[in-house]
Amino acid sequence: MNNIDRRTFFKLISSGIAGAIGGKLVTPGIAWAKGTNFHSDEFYGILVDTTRCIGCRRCEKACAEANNLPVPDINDTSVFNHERQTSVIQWNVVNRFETEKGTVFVPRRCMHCNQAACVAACLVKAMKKRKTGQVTWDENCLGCRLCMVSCPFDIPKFEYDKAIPKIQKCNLCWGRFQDGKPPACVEACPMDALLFGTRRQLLEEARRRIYQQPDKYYHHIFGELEVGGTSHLYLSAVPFEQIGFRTDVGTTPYPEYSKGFLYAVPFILVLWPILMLGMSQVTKRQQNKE
Amino acid sequence: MGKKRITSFIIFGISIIIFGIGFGHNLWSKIIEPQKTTERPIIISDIAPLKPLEEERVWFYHQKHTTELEASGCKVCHSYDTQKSRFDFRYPKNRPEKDRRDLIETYHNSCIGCHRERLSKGLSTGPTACGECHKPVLYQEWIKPVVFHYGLHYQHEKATDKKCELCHHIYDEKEKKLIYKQGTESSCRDCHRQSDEGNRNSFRKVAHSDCINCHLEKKEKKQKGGPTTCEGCHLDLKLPSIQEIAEIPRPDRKQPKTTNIKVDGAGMPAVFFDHQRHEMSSLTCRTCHHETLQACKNCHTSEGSPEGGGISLESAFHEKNSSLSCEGCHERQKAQEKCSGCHLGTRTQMEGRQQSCIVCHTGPIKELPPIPPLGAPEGIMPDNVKAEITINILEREYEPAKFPHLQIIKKLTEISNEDPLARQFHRQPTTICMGCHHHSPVEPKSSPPTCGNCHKATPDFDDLGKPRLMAAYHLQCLGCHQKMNLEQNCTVCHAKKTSVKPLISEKQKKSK
Repeated sequence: MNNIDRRTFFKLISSGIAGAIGGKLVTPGIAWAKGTNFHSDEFYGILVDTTRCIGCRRCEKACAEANNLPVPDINDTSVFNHERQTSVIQWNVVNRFETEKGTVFVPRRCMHCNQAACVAACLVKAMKKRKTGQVTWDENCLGCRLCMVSCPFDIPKFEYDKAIPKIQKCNLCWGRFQDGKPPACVEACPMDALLFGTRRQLLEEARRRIYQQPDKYYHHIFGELEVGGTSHLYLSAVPFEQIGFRTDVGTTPYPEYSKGFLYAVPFILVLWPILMLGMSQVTKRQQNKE
Repeated sequence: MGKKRITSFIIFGISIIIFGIGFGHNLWSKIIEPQKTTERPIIISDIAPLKPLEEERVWFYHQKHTTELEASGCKVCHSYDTQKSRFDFRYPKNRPEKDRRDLIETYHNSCIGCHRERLSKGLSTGPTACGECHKPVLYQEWIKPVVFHYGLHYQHEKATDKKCELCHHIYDEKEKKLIYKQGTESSCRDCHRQSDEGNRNSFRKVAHSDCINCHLEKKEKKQKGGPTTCEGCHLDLKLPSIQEIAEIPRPDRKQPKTTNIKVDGAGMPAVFFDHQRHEMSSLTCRTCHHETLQACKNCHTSEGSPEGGGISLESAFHEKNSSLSCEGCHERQKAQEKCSGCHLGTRTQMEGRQQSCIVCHTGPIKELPPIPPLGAPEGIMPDNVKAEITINILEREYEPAKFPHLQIIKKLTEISNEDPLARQFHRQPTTICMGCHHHSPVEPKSSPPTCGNCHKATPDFDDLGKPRLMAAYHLQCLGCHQKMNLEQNCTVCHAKKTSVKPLISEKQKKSK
């Protein structure tokens, strides 16, 4: 505070007042703190509490608006009649499930795995795992679709109908994140069923909810350990099989399965010939001696 | 013309045949109505020596047999003791319990023998081949357990002129016979358990033999008696509501009307317990007393003993998860629709028990002091209780919400005053406020903080457990509406605007 001079002080004060007035005039109340920077170098993620979701589909609308996708009609409830998958124009879909504890709505989107199979599978590093947890897609894609094959949750979708096709999937609003804003779906959720924060904070919050309301929740956080952990964490009142989750994915990160083999490749390609050559040289010498 | 007519006839005929094959199954096959009493099977369960079964189990149509053989009576299948004038309802007559083969033989001879005999006489009869009885049946559960509630008990008291000994007895070890001793009455299940134990028959056996024998006796004497069919007890008896049987006098077992529960060596003051009041809110004595109908402390000692299942007296009273304990039962009352809005909502997360101890632990008294009903909120906080609150702080897509603050307080106060249990625990008029104003205690003559004081419009990334304002409103209001089964449509609280101002204006978009 000591090194603030008179000029900066006035600047700050006046900008504060102007900001307050302006903010009030333009968007009353709802505007998020501008320039909320996420400084932490940890993995960020979203905690989805399916016991809170009311199926309003505002996250779908906000997602479409933020990512320039066709905006769905969220008053149409007929979409709940069948279970939907994400698609090239819908990165986030809300599904309805009838369970033993009543109707449950579940938003489905990219899980942003800690060690993503799609990232490991990508030949040209078009799929990237960012330092802060997001799995994003770049334009240098070959179109090989190995990411689609490798994904345990069947999330990346390919634009088969385009001349220059892209891979479409949730990127945890990477653009907004760089501007210091949380994902659009989180901002739109009226029930705080979606919660944005660091993965560590979210896990703590999820555990707190289970601990405080043990009868309400099924005692498992989907995404804590599944496929080595994911950035999207889910809480539920019923076992996760009942709300359309694959619970047979295991806790080993998918890239681990191929790591051993892939590490062996350079050894075999480089060291094996040298070893063989060496051996042949040795045997040759012995032959020559004889 | 002639050829055309013939072809059209042929086509017509073929279509009829196809139609007949296609839909005939539904049109002409016999449709089994499960509503028909004779079509309801029962499980033959008294076959412990036969297990494991070699064949598919037999589902027995008891009602079909009783209606067909009504003229001949129960004697056709069940043995009758003329001296005691009682039926032994075990089947078949004189069944050998020891030998497995013998028992199978007796079953087959009794059933198939009768069926063959009736067949030769040209009477209506049953199956004689193996697969006709030993076949899987699509069983739909129709048998309801009989709850012998106070209403039924009183009915039996009246019918037997208060001769308790007709049903209640204890076994005298010295005399080796059943005697009746007043004041020792307990539930049948106290001695007659799930299965036979020594000379004690299972509950299922004694309930059927004693009840039906008595009912049959009355029927024979052409007196008004109880049902003698399966449906009579297991289907047609309707469970009364608590209000309906509140008027019915309770069985007299010399129980005190009120008592002070004092545990020797306990630090807490005695609990005044209104036994009569609690009888009114249960269906049977077993609701609290298990089968024994003993006082709690007889089995539950302060340390816990094998007789009390290792459960100490303290947990027998306070265990929240038990349906038999005081606090467990009180806890369950909170799940009622009218209570759940506050009790299972946000409040549960921070609900403290410490202040409620003295509600029960009154110390030795003779009568509960009358608790005045909670007053009208305007009377206590005339300046602070707003009648209606317009919530417009987040207005964008919807019109401002009009929140009927006072109306809600009045309704909740009314619910609380109506319920005798709630009245005991809701002592302060501001208790009702705590349902929504959950973190801060509400004091008369000072406003509690508003929602927006703690819940900010933007999320607090350091405290993720605290919902932001929009979510706080929706979680609180909608949560209560969901639990109390009220309207849950968006437009009930706020009407939708016809035109919505976009968050990012066109100018800003262009500049981008």
